[in-house]
Parts: sequence; structure tokens; C-alpha cells
Amino acid sequence: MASKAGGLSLMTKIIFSISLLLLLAWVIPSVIGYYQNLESYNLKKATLQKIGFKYNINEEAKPFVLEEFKKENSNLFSEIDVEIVSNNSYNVIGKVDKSKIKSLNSFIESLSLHYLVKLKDNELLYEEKDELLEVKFGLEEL
Amino acid sequence: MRNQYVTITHYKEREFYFLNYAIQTEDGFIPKDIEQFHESEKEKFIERIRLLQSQNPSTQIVSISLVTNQKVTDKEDRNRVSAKIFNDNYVVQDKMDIGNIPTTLYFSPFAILYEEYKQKLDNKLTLLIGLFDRKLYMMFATEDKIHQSWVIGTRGLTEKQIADRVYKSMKAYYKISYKFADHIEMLLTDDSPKLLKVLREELSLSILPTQNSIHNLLHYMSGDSNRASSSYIRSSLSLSQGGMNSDFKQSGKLKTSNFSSVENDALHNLDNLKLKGSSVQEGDSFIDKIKNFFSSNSGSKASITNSLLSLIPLFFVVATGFYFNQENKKVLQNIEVSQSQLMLQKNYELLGKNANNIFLAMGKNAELKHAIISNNEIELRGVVWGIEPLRNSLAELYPDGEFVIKPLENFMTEFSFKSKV
Repeated sequence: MASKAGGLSLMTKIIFSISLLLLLAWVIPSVIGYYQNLESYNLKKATLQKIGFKYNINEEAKPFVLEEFKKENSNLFSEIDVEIVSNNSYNVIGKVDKSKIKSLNSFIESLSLHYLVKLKDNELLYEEKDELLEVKFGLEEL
Repeated sequence: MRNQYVTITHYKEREFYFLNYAIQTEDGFIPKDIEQFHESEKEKFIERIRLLQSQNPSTQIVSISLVTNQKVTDKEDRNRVSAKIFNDNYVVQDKMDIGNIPTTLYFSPFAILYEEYKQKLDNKLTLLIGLFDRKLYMMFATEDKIHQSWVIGTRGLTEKQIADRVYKSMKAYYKISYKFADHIEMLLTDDSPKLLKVLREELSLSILPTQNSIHNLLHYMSGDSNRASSSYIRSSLSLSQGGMNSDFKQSGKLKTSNFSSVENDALHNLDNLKLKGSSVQEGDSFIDKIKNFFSSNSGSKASITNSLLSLIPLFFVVATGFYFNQENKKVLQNIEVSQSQLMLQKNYELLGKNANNIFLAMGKNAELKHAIISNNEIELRGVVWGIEPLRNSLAELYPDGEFVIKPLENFMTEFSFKSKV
């Protein structure tokens, strides 16, 4: 092979050498890294799916979209108001009938399986208002 | 008789050793009969050389290197066996291959070829071909330089195939130099009229043949101190200056143990041609191979095409690397998100359960007016009807909590509860 390579021009040899170097030092590690990470990701996805089954959730968590969030949770909340704090931060104020407290708690438990969001400070604020329970919490997009 | 200078020549072809000796005179050499020994009679063959040597006090024992890994270079390689042909042209090979057969002068076919044709060389490119032991030793030469050399094995090939290989060699040389040989000289040590005929027909060139035996060529080479100086073995050359009739002083027997007897019989073919004359042989060091790899013959159209074609694998490598790099970044982002989801899920499960427990604890004993619930602490305030059941329920959940009651003006009782979780 080396003898055959002897007949190639310097530029060709340099290009081949660069190709080989890139293949060994960059491409092959990238391909190996990709498949290793993909396996790790699939494992985590499977774990999330398994947890999702517990809450009858068959879909993957989706990005937070304000209007969709309000619409999708209109059954749980008698009234819902979402104020935008910043680009990806929101304050949610919802009123819940006291008979739906269990559903509200279940909603909180499975929040991260529904939406790609996190609760600000992991804190819930409850207040009784007009025979309804007002719950306040902050959300941040992941 | 005692003062006459005798050259003893020998070489091995296939399984036979061929031996000859000649008396060197002012008018040339007078060869005697050729003797032949089978390789199983090696001892007898060596004894015969010793006998001839003892009978003639002024002798040189001359042989020829017929290995294929010889090449002509423009500088001496001190790590290998080398011989100066002329000016800055040296013939080199990896190792000596004379075994334990006495030898004091040892010539390359390239040295013999040059010696044979040096008077005919001018500024036009001449292809010198020597057929020795069914191998073609080829040199492209002008009067001042040997530009290229290589060896082609012809064992098992038809005359037409040999002619084809010679033509391909010329084409290969054209690729690197843009020059075709102006004419071809051919030295045949075998009597091969058919080969010559086919070469003439196939190459459509005027080929000037010379036929001579290896023994005669060796006698000729060793008959003069200047010609003999192109021998691989320089340690045994202790020459008195003079013309053809000068005697060579005996410089002792060759220490054959210094030389390897390993012979590389691998035949080169066109696939193995080294276009720059810097062929990579088995014995080359790794550094030599790298140097050879980067030896350039850039500038030709073919090399430009090659360079452009070589961009294809580079493009493929870069595209593949870029694709997998991007995909890897996406997967890493997804992993980060999934990892966050899993961690948050645990927190929210705990938070949801805390909230659920607190509302269950209220039951019919109290009504919650205000509550802050987190995974670190809870703070509750409301109206209570069943103080003790509520206290007990909360104490069961949070034993370290602080339960405070306060009577209200409307005969109701307010409770507050604080605890770390």
C-alpha cells in the first residue's frame, strides 16, 4: 500500500492523511459517542414511559404552550389565569372546586410527564376564595 | 603464470551454481570452460573456488546480485548495501545475499548495465534493459544521470506479457516525467531471440540488443580497477592503480559471516513499480516509509485529478463527522431534558403526596384558608372544629410541627401549623 501511495502527489497524500486523521480522531469517536448516548437516552425514555403508565399518560411530555395549557386544564380549574413573568417563566393562578382537590394533587404529581416545565421553588400556595380553593404556582420551561 | 591475474566468477540460477574463471591479459580476458554444480554440491563448489584461488595467487572472486530489491538512488545509503555507479548515482539493496560462498567483488546488474552502455549515453533519454536470470533490470538514463530504475520479474510470463510490462513501465515513467525513452538498449544474458522479436513488435521501437553471458560480463567488470570500484563489496577492494592489466592485490578472504544469506526471491511486477525510484522495500524503516509516502511528484495532470478525487473521501468523512456530531448534540440535549424530567418527577410526586396528606388530615375537623406547601416546609392556617383530632393527624404526619390555636371573635377557633418536611 505504501508503495502504491508513493505514486500519488503530495497534495493527494496530504488530503488522504487529513481524511484518515479526521476519521480516526473525530468521526469514529463521534459515531461511537452518538450510539452510546442514544442507548442512554432510550433507557431514560423507557423509564419515563413506565412512570407515565402509572398516571395513564401514553404520550411524551410536550413543550409548554400557554394557550394549550389553559385549554387542556379547563376541566380541572374553574378559572385559570396564566401571567407571563419573562420569556420562559409563568405564574399560574387557578381556582379549583374543593371536590377536585385529589385531581389537582394528581395533576401536580404528573406535571413533568405532561409538560417540559418545572415548578418554581417546588412550592404551592393555596388560598380559599369564594368557596373555591385558589392555587398559585410558578412554572419555568425546561 | 604465478603473476597472472585471474578472475573467478560464479552465480546461482535456479538450483545450479555456475562457475568460471578467466585469465586477464592486456588484450582482454581469456575465459575457461564453465562448470556447473547442483545446489546439493555446494561444498564441492566452494572447494573448487578455493582450489582455483590457491592455484592463482592474484585472484578476484566475482559474483552478481540477482535479487529484485535493488534500486538506483542519487545518494548513498550507509544503512544498506550500496555501490557507486558514477557521479551521484548509487545502487542499493537491503542485504548482501552471497551466503557463505567466497566472494570479493559483487556487482549489481545495474552497475553492469551502466558500464556496458555508458559510452552510448547522451542527453537523450535511453532505456537500458538487462535480462538477468529471467528478471528485467530497467534504467532510464542520460549521460549525466540515472533517472529511474526498477526490476520486473518475468518468471512464468509470455514474451508478449513481458513486452507489455516494459511498455507499462515506460508509460509509468512518462506519468512522472513526461518523457518517453528516445531509444532502448537491451542486454540479454540469456539467448532469447523470441523475446527480442516480440519486444520489437510490441513496442514499435528500435531496440539494440547485446548478448553476453553473466560470466563474461563479470570478468569484464573485474578486469579493471575503475570498473571494479562499482562493486558492492568495497572492503575487499585494495586496488593498485593502473590499466586493464593491473593486478588486484589480495586483501584476504571475505568475511562472509558479516553478510546475510537471505535472498528475497519475490518478483516485482508492475503493481509494485516504484515510480520515484525510491521504492519501499521490506527492510525500510517506518520513518523511511513515511518519508516515501510524502515524497512528492506533484504538478502532473494526473496528480491534480488524484487530488480532486481524494477530496471525495475527505468530503465524505467531514459530512459523516458533521452529521453524527449534530445528532450527538441533539441526543445529549434530549438526555439532559429526560434526566431533568426524571428528577422533577420524583419531587412532584413527593409534593403531590404532601398536599394530599394535608387535605386528608383536615378532613371534617378543619377548613384550610391559607397554605404554603413545598418539599422543604409547610405552613397552614384555617378554621378548626375538632382541635384534638386535627392536632393528632398533623402530629402523625409531621411530629416536629408547631400547632397553634387561637379563638376568634365569632366563637370559632383558628389554627396555624408550621413544620419542616
